Amino acid sequence: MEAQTFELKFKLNGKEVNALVDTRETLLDVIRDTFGLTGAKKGCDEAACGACSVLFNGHAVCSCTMLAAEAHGGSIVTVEGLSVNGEPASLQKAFMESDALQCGFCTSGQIIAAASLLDNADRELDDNEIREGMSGNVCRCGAYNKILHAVSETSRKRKAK
Amino acid sequence: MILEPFQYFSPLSLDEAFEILTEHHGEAKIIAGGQSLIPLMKMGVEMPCIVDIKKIHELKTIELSNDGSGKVSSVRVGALATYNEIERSVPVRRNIPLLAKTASGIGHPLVRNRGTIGGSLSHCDPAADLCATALALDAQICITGPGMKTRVLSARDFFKGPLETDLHNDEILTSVFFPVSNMKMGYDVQKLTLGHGDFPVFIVSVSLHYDGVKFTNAAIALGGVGETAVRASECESLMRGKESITGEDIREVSRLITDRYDPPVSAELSPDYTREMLSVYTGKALRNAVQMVTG
Ligand SMILES: Cc1cc2nc3c(=O)[nH]c(=O)nc-3n(C[C@H](O)[C@H](O)[C@H](O)COP(=O)(O)OP(=O)(O)OC[C@H]3O[C@@H](n4cnc5c(N)ncnc54)[C@H](O)[C@@H]3O)c2cc1C
Ligand code: FES
Ligand code: FES
Repeated sequence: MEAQTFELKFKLNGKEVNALVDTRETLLDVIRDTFGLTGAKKGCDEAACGACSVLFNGHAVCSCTMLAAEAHGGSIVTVEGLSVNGEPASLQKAFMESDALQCGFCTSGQIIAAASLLDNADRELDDNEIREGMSGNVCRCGAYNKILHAVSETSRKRKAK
Repeated sequence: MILEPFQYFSPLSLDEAFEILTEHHGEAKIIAGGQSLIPLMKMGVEMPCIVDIKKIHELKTIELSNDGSGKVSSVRVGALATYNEIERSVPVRRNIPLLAKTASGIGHPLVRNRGTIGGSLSHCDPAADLCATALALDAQICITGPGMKTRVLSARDFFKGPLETDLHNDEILTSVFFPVSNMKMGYDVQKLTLGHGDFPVFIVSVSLHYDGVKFTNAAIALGGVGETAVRASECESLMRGKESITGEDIREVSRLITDRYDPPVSAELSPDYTREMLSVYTGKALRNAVQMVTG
């Protein structure tokens, strides 16, 4: 069979975009290669590390295990889309302030997973809920404690508001 | 990377989906959450025609469903309900807490935001969490085919073998009915995994009903110990009808289970260890379930 194409339209970081994609392309490939947003990383390419996490309609998913075509009509937010007026969002600042990374390869995925967790929670989360909620995101440098600190600080501050 | 080219369709209604499935008979493959299918496509399994059913909104609903007299008789979970949606659903948490608990423990949150109940049951991995729990809860599977011909069968009759179900390739699993009980419920699910978020090596799902005097129902479903998830019927009958289930009863059931069922052989775990763990986890699930009932 010849390669098949798909006329893809979706919202990427708040902007309507479109592209003619090969049906075989994953969402991760299209975000990185077609739209040049390289925040989401390809770690395992099999839903086992979380480096490719993006928000799809408000929930973190592995963009490596989603066809680009499946995003048609939906809304995707990558780590690049979290900043507010060019300023890092408070969650991103918390990662910097907590020193929640070493090499940084997993960081955009961690931040997206945390954003999904916090945005969908209606109360302050305890450490175990955060650990479970972020458990799809592997950090090979082992910055887990500081990641936990960054997310729990953000959860606490959001609740206080 | 997926190498084999394929056509992609995204029908907006069941009618439209059946047209495509009929036209591409034998070649069309449904995609729901894609958390099993996409890995298979990446392994090079050829699937020339992919039918994405996620734009068919009627398959997403989770709702209470009544019997003729207006009494709530079951919770209907649409095939496209994701694990995360099931875990958070109020009707599920209230009426079928074992289902909510099982969904909340599948894989990791990124998978739970995509994977669907219809996909998990249709994929029919012998150790899949929801296959065991669907059996424990006597779930009824609703299947629709071309011409909107609909049939309902029990989870037991639906699972046929490893990655094999009663579904024909022009049919869609549309929803799953979980009967609601007004008895006191005790339940638990326990599984052995190699690491957090990994597929279970085996899983034990337990559901007990207590009418205030005796256990009217005792269901134990095991995943990973056979060709499909199974009900340990001969062990259940040791508990059903009893006024109390003692520690000795639980030990006997756990022993019987390790005598009768073979946990899978894996490269990482010795058979003795896995067998011992099957007994330990069965005991733990039963103790937790009994304790919920008797306090
Ligand atoms: C990292 C990772 C960890 C995982 N861990 C676990 C775990 O711990 N426990 C567990 O149980 N599972 C686990 N899974 C598997 C996961 O639960 C899958 O989501 C599930 O097996 C398939 O559901 P899906 O909706 O993604 O279906 P898909 O992958 O889209 O489809 C699976 C199969 O079902 C068919 N199908 C799907 N929906 C329908 C329908 N409505 N009607 C007819 N046929 C249909 C498809 O054609 C395909 O053959 C894991 C997966 C990953 C990637
Ligand atoms: S690259 Fe997607 S989960 Fe690892
Ligand atoms: S900071 Fe290096 S992998 Fe997490």
